[in-house]
Amino acid sequence: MAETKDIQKKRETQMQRGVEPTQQGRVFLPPTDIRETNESIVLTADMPGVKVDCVNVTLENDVLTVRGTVAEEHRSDPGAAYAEYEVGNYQRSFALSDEIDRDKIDARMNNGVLTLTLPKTRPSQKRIEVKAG
Amino acid sequence: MTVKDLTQRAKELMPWNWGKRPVRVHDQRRESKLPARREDVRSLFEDMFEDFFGRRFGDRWLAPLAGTTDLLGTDWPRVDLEETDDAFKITAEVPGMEAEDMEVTVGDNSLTIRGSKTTEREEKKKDYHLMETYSGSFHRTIPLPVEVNADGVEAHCRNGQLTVTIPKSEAGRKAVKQIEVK
Repeated sequence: MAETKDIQKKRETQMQRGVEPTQQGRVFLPPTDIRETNESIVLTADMPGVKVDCVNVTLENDVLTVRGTVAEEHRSDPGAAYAEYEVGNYQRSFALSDEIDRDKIDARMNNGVLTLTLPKTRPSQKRIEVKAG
Repeated sequence: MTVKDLTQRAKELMPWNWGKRPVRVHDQRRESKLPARREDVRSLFEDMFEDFFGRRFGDRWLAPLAGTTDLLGTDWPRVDLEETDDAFKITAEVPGMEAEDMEVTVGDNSLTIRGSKTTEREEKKKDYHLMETYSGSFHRTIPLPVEVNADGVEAHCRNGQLTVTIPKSEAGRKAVKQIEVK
C-alpha cells in the first residue's frame, strides 16, 4: 500500500434503500465545493467526462439532485493495463433551505465542471456597525 | 440574523449524505500517513485490501512505480492507461481545465503531464462551506515500457477529460512477442 500512490478514491453515491438503479455500473459522488456569497450560494461539482446535454438537475421537496451521465467516448476499456480511476455516472443530492429562490437557480457546465448558482431570496448577511461609546 | 441561525443554515447546506461516511479531505501538504481517527484506521485497512486484491495493476507498470512516488509527481489527476498492439492510451480526469492549462511531454520512456488549475478560492477560503475539489499545480510522469513514436503523440482535452494517444515505434511493437501455444 505504501509504495503505491495515495490517490483519493472516488466516493460512491449511497443509493436509497429499496431503490433499484435502472442503469448498470457504479455511480459516484462528484467532489463539490460550496461557497456562500452575500447574494447567493455557489456550488461547483467536478464531473469529468459529462457533456452539457448529459447533466440533469432536479429540485424535488427541497432536495436538489444533480445527475451526470458520462459520454460513451469517455468510458475506458475495462481491460486497462493500469487504472487509478473508474468511469461511472455521477449523482449527488443537497438539501436546500427556505432562503433559496427556487425559480432563479442557474446551472452551467464547462469542461466537466457543473456550476450551480442558487440566489438567496434576500441578502442574509447584514453588517452591523459597531459604534464607540 | 443571529449567530445561531447562521450555524443552522450552514448545517442545512451540508450534503445530503453528510456524516454517513467519513470524508477524507485531500491535503497535498500532509506529510504523515499515520491515521488520526478510528474511521481513518478503518479506511486505511479498506484501502490496503483494495490495493492488494481489487486494483487492476499491471506488474509491468507497478514495478517501476514502487518506492519512487515522489519522483513521479503529485497524486492527482488520476490516470488510466490502456495498451493496444499499436499504441498506448492514457486518460486523466482534469475537470475545469482548458487545453492551454496543460502541457504534455514525451521522453524516451516516459510521458509527463503538467498543468495547473487556478481557482479563486485561495483568497476567499472563509466563504466556503465545503471544499472537495482539487486545485493547484500538478505533474505526473508515467513510465512507458516500450519505445514510442514521439512525433505521433496526440492529446485532446474534452469535457474535463484528457486523452493522450502514444503510438508505439516499430521497435516497440516488436518488443512484445506472441508465443504460440501448441
